[in-house]
Amino acid sequence: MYEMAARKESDTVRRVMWLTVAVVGIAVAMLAPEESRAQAKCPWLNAATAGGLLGGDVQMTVTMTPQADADKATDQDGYSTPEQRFNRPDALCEFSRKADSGMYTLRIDVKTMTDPAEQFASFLSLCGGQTVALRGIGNEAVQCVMRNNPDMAHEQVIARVRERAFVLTVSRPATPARNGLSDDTRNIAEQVAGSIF
Amino acid sequence: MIRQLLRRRFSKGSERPEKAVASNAVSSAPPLNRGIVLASLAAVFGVGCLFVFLPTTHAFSDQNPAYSTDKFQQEAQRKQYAEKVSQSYNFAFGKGKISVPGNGAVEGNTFLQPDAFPNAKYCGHCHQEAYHQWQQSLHRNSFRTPFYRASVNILLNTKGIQFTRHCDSCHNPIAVLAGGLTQDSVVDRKFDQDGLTCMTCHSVQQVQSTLGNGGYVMGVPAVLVDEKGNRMPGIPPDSEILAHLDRHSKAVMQDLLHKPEFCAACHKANLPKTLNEYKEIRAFTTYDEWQNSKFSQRNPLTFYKADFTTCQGCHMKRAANVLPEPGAKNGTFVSHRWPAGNSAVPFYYGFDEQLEKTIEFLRTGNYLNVDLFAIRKGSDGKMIAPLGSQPFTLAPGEVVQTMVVIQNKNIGHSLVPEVRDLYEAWVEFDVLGADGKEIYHSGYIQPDGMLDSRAHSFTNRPVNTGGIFVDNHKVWTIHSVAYDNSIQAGRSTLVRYEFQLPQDIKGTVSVTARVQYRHLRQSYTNNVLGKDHPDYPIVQLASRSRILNIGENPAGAPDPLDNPDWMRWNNLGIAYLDQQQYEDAVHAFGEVVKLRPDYADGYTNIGLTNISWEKFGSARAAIETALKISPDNARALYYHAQVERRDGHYEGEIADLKKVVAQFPQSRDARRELGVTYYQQEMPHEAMEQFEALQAIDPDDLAAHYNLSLLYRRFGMKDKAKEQLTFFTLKKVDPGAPTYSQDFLRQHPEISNESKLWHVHSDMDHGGIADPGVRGGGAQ
Repeated sequence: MYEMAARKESDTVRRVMWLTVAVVGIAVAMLAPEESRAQAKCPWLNAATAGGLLGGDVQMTVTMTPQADADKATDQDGYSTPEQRFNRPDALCEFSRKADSGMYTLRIDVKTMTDPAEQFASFLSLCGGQTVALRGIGNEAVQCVMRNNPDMAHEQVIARVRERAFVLTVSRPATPARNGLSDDTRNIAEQVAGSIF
Repeated sequence: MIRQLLRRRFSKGSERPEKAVASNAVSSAPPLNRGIVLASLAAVFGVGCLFVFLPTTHAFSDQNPAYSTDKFQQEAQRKQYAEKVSQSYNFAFGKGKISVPGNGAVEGNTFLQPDAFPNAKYCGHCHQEAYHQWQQSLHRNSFRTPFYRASVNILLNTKGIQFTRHCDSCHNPIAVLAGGLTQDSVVDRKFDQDGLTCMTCHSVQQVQSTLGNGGYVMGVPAVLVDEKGNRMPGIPPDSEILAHLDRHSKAVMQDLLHKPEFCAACHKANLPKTLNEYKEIRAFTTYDEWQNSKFSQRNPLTFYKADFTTCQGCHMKRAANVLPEPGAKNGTFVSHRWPAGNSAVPFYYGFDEQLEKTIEFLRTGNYLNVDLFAIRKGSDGKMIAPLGSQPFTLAPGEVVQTMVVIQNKNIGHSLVPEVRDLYEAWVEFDVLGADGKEIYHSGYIQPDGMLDSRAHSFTNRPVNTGGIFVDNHKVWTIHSVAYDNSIQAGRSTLVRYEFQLPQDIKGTVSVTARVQYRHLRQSYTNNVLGKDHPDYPIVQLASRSRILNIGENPAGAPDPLDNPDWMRWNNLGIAYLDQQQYEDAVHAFGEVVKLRPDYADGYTNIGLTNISWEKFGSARAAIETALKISPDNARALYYHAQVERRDGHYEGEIADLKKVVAQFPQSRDARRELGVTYYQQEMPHEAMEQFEALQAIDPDDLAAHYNLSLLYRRFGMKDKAKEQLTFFTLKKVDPGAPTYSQDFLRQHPEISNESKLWHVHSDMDHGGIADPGVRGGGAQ
């Protein structure tokens, strides 16, 4: 009888606790500005697609970047119209998957340039190795051919979509077939460019 | 760590990027007050607790186990997948509605794993030619191109990804049916790159109707049927297919693939209320245009006749295959390039072969005829026509009006079809002296790549409620169309250019009219790529030049590339008719019957013009002449019925229309008119039969919706009556919408001129040469 009462009391406490958690959770979710909830996602690629590339479930980290001068610069230069930029902040998206053979990563860094003609060169200069021009990704794109160690392959694409530059970097286990830019990394680069368009 | 995190997150004035980390998602946010901070902390904890008990998000991809060929296992897999997707899917348009505002449907009525679709590489193991062609085709690139993404991204960013199901029901059906178009998608979008892959088209089992917007019913993809002919979903090894080629063929080659209705599933679109929150607006009607063209042989009212030709007949022509292709017959294979007008996508991707085939397609199809038909001189205003068959003189300093007739001769749809707000087809007209010096030029490209704003272009201008041109293809904001200068299949248009010959001109002048095409409009390409893009191709579709002498111009032999003179007059008559210049149209058709007195349609043309002009007596005489020459002529009978109605001869009217329907059971016009007559004659059952038949041909026909709502109500079928009335109300043009067009035209005088049914292009600042139909004059 006593045990039953204690169990009942314990159940009640547990229910109240969970109810409190739920109510607080819902309240905060409603109070939080919509954009902050939306920004939790990577604007350029979803986690499932990144997971498809990296071979499993991924952790995602998104860092939004303020764009102070974007409007002023782009309108005058005839790049994006305001509606094209709507709700598309610059962001750094990092996806990672820990595997027995190491950490697999996909990194997408998108930045708005105030003067693309000048500034894109500085993005291209990030490539320490040889660059190979790619067609069909944004306005212009290059593959940065990186030095790979025997275990891990690194692929990088640097591209421009109108006034925005992005750098895509993929690190995965090396395979004999993975010479140059792999089809799936190229597809990711196309998807990122497509989302920026 | 959490304190550190919060300090970083809410510190004011920091220039550093803000960063936060959670187990599966991270966000930044503007500064909030302390209460909300604490609440956020509790929420993070609470949500964290909940996440502990939730499974990790999975990507559905090739990483999953191989798709099973066991039916029960497949169904279980699909059910599991659908339940998973449904948990986070935005059912904004109703539970279970996975593709609205699009019309795409799938067997089983729930989400389908993207991996159920074999990818194109799989098909390409054997179908090498098809795979090679498809890779550069517009169907393959239906989703990924910047020209599409730039537009659909605006919809995604402004209204929400759920609205993009309208566009992607056709541009990316796998994404729609897999449930990928939702805010919290768990779908690996690797299939985006393949757009319409082999097994999207080859899995369609039926079309729901000809409403478009993705009006297909997708089957669960199967590349084999069993011995009983039942489809066997799954991705078997090549060896199994090779062992059962007949069963492979049965699985992937539906009869439907050869029919124009198949194309209608996507090459027809409307803007539904669920998209624009306004009303249903017809967007493009390529299928209907084909159905009304001579190539369908379903419409008795076309000006000319032709052999039956489907969409596939032009866009999937057979040619010798270069690569191994099991689908080839006698060394030829139907094109899986689907050449049409899009030169922008192959240019962007560097698909030289596709670009070459596209240009070849556009130039060699004899689709258009450009006729420098006549001139009129300022000295007397009389028309000298047809040029080449009539002698005339020209003097220095003379004001000359050139009448260019452009015939949409062999296109099975309008020029230009579909998204006219994005395409750019226009007339470039120039006059050069013998020294090559330019005397007049219209339709040129400006240094910034923009088209001469006063060019005669075959385009339209959709506008929003502010009377502003809907740029960037934001179709959900369209409320009206300020003008539409497209030429329907089989019809012609008359474009007038006026210029003055220099006082000191000697020798000859060369006059040239060209129809040019650019995919896409320069301002749209600028919006997509910025202004620093290379020049996109301009393709000359058709042209005609004539050398005119200063002095005497004798009549000469007809040019073999020109239409015969009777047809030249006929096309002029058609153009005048469409510009509502009835007197001139009757005159032009009169010239036709002078040259071809045996040509029944020439008399019918006089008759139908007089009907439009409300001269029913003259109409009857002409049409009866046509019927004497050709007693069972359906076209003449149709217009005869109209004259009979006007004279109150209802029995004769019904008899005529019944004969038309007997010959052309899919004639929309005859069904509609017969329905109206039956209704007026208190024959409701017969009227209902006709309107239902009409609705089966065109599910959007307003007359059918309206009359069926009345008829169903009369017979106590209240639900059906209400449904039809709803459709009528939804689809009827908003009577207030034209005011938006007027606002636009007031702001754009150069386009306002184009919106007039007839107008003259000229650099001259005087009134120009009088048009005989409007200000007197006549033909020479």
